[in-house]
Amino acid sequence: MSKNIIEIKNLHASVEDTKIIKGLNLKINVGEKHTIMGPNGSGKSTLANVLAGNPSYTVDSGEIIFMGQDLDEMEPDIRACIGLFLAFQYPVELPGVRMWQFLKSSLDAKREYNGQEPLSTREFDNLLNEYAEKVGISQDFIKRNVNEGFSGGEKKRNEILQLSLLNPKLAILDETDSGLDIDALKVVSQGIDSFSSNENSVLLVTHYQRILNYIQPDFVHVMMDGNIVTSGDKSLALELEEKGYDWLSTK
Amino acid sequence: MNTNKDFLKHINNIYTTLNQNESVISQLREKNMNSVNKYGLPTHRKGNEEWKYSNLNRMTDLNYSENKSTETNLKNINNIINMDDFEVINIINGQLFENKINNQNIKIKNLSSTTLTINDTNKFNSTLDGENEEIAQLNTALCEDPILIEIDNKNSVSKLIVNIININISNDYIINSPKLFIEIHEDAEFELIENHVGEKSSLYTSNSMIEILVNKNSKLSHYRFLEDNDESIHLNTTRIKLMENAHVESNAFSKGTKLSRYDLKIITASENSYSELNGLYFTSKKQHLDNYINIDHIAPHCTSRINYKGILNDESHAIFGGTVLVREGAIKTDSLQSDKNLVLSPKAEIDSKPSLYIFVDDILAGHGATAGNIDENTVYYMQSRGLSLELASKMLISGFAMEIIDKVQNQTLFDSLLENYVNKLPSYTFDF
Ligand SMILES: Nc1ncnc2c1ncn2[C@@H]1O[C@H](COP(=O)(O)OP(=O)(O)O)[C@@H](O)[C@H]1O
Ligand SMILES: [Mg+2]
Repeated sequence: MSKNIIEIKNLHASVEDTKIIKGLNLKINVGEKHTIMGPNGSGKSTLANVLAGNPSYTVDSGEIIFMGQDLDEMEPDIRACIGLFLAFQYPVELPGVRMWQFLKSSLDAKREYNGQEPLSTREFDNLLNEYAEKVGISQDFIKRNVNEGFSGGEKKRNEILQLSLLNPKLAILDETDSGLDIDALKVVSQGIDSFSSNENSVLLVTHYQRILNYIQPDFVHVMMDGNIVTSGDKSLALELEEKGYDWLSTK
Repeated sequence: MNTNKDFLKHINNIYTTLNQNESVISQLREKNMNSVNKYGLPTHRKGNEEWKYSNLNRMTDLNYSENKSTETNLKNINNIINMDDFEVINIINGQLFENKINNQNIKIKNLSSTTLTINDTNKFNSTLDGENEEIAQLNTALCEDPILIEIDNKNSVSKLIVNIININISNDYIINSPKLFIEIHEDAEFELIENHVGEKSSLYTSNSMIEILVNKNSKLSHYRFLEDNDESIHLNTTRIKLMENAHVESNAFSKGTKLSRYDLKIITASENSYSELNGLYFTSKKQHLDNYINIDHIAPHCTSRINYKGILNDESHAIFGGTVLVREGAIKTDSLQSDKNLVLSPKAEIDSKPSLYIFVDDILAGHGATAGNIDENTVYYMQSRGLSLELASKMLISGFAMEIIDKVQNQTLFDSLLENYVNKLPSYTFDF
């Protein structure tokens, strides 16, 4: 029997009094990879941010159960500590905050919450070096300020580095593939692929089916106007590529 | 008004005592005392833009004593700087107290050691241009022991720490007027640490003045630390005159006091100079701190950068003012001005009013000031990685300060800034 990681029930959410998510349902089991596709403005990022606990968004009604806990009113840092991770569509620059310090503090915070000792500097450095190399982030970057002066691709690689280090139960990736050249896309896809296992789950939000050449989703959902309008397997993504989204809105 | 008269009377008494005996500095003191008596001190009334936000009543309303203690035990003053690879001079209450210099490239003359000649005294105040001179005149009228320093090295870097120390055991304030003129000769390189400190419980007004002439092809790295005690009044006039190809990097780290004003002016007297002025200031309690940072672009092809940042807490008030003036002949000037502030308390106040006056077309210039807080999305990003709101806030406030501290190349100073500034930042949690 499969165990579910997250269950979203009849979710309604808004931003600045505008209703964006309108009665959405979604269930993700452990070991599954889901993709949400949909046109710009359909509410994909809103959903991702509501799940991560972005304070700019309001849940009007419905339920989000993650790892058996109701996420209602839970702070974003606690969500992260219990195993939720969001790779941002637009990663944020942190002036004056060093990468090393940021990454170490993040991992320490999560470990502490879960009753684990912080890693020693040495243990952490070993782990960091291993993952940094995998996503092609050099030592120079580790000494720099978080995302400051990073190119678009470097910022996305940095999100994958954080994903690998924090090793969450559920990874939500918000358009981590957009704006990447083919090499960066491969690196990012490999990162997601090597993270993914039968003990965790992936929710990949994307605008293009391009990344699906590298990552094989178990389910593909199409989101339009704040709701999932249809779901299927990978063949749905191919169909969307051929026909676009218009045929769905007229359905 | 009345209190102001008391203050003028007090300073005239000090002046009279100082000038009792004829010396090479007598005439200069006299001339400046006359100016102070004639024009008075700056007031923040009468539409005086330069002093709009700072009220010298905080200084003149205090009770002053004419008797300075001869206490010279420095043991209780913990922020005096000493470093292995730097020469050191200690100035106590305006008087050169210890001259430990052991480097032929650094030559010092001063009044009390009678090495200063009449010719030398002509250098003092030679960088003034008739604007905002009142505080400099007050310094000159009351200067106890003017000091002239010459730097002349070709192959090595001369490094000097000037500890400007204030001690007073009386229950009234004293006024100290340290005065320095530093000449860096052609092709020389100089690192200067200017450290203002005071014994913890001493009451004092320190009105110092430092002029630095940076000659052709020479280089100055300047670190200024304002560590005067909480109750002190700190006034400082600094003038840095840049000749052809001169290069100056100045990093000013300031903690607030009862009242402080740093009046800095860079004068680009000749072509191709570069100046970079970085500053970080912290204020708390009811402190009042005024940065008055000016660049006078006279010569063409000069570059200037101003990058100041403030962190304000409690009921403190900080000011960033001053002018970048690009004069008619200063073609190809490249100038940028920026002041950013983190205001951590609703009762703290920042007045950031940098101004830019341009009288020539062919230049690149910009300025900006922001007062405000770090945005919600930034904090959310950090929280989404598991960091608590408290820890994220702490890291962002440190990060804000690190942007200036990162400019410091000297490892010892860098480490002590982490210790004395970053580790002592107020704890504050952003709330949106
Ligand atoms: N912070 C916000 N303030 C106002 N409107 C927003 C905000 N975030 C999203 N929206 C609006 O919500 C809708 C959905 O946006 P978004 O979730 O970003 O869509 P997608 O990620 O699918 O492109 C859009 O109409 C967008 O303009
Ligand atoms: Mg989006």
